[in-house]
Amino acid sequence: MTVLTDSNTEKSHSYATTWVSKHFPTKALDYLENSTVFQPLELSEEARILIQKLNEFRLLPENWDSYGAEKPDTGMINKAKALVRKLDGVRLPLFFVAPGPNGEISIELKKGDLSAELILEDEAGFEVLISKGGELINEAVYEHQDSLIKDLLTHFSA
Amino acid sequence: MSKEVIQDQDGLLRRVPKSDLRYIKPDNTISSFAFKKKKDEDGLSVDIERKTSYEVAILNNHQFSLCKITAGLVRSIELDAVHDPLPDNEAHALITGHITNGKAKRMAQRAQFVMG
Repeated sequence: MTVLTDSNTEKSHSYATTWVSKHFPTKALDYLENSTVFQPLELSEEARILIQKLNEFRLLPENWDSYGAEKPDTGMINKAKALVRKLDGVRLPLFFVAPGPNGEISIELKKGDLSAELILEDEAGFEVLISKGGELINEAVYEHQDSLIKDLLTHFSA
Repeated sequence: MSKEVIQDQDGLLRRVPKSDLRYIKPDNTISSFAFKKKKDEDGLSVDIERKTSYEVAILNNHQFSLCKITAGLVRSIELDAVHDPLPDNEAHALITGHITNGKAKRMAQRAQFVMG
């Protein structure tokens, strides 16, 4: 089996799509086209850095913060990577990622004095913390990525 | 070990992992996760500033920075700080109450680096 890494380009995606369509012409191709792993995006430099950092979260030992923190699980890391790609796809200003003490992950966006921290804690939804000038001004929970991204685009274009 | 009352002006110290910019962002601000507690714990561990030294509290200055918030700030966001001495750490205290992501963010936004 060929494993595609985050640094693979559109060429790799094209090759994989062709190979799968030749050998598995039905469901597998649908999966590949819809997979967040194989999205043929031209990633920004910021997104590449954050995805690399997310990959490094796999190497964290237990108690990496000295207060008993758990390491993020692979599923959460993959979910965060997929969201980073999606946010980057609409050119939202990616800034920072961090692992939490319970295995959760935060993705932070920042532009000027505006920032938004997206917290991925479990399967259900995202909590978003909006700050301006270093002060928290709003907290919200989103169940769907599309409405989240729509509001973030509005927030950062204001 | 006797427990002391923590005054509003008391400083509370928290270690922040700094390797690979883990909790310290490129703009030198602190991630809210530095003030988020583990789900199975009674509170967020800190050390009372006046009962320890920065050198002791930081444990390892290659791995961690040390930041400070006041008990008054903690109480202003409807949390509390209580002394919780441990056999090997007389200065240990807990920030108690429902530490939401928003409250963790507010603590991180007001924390000041004191070492590392």
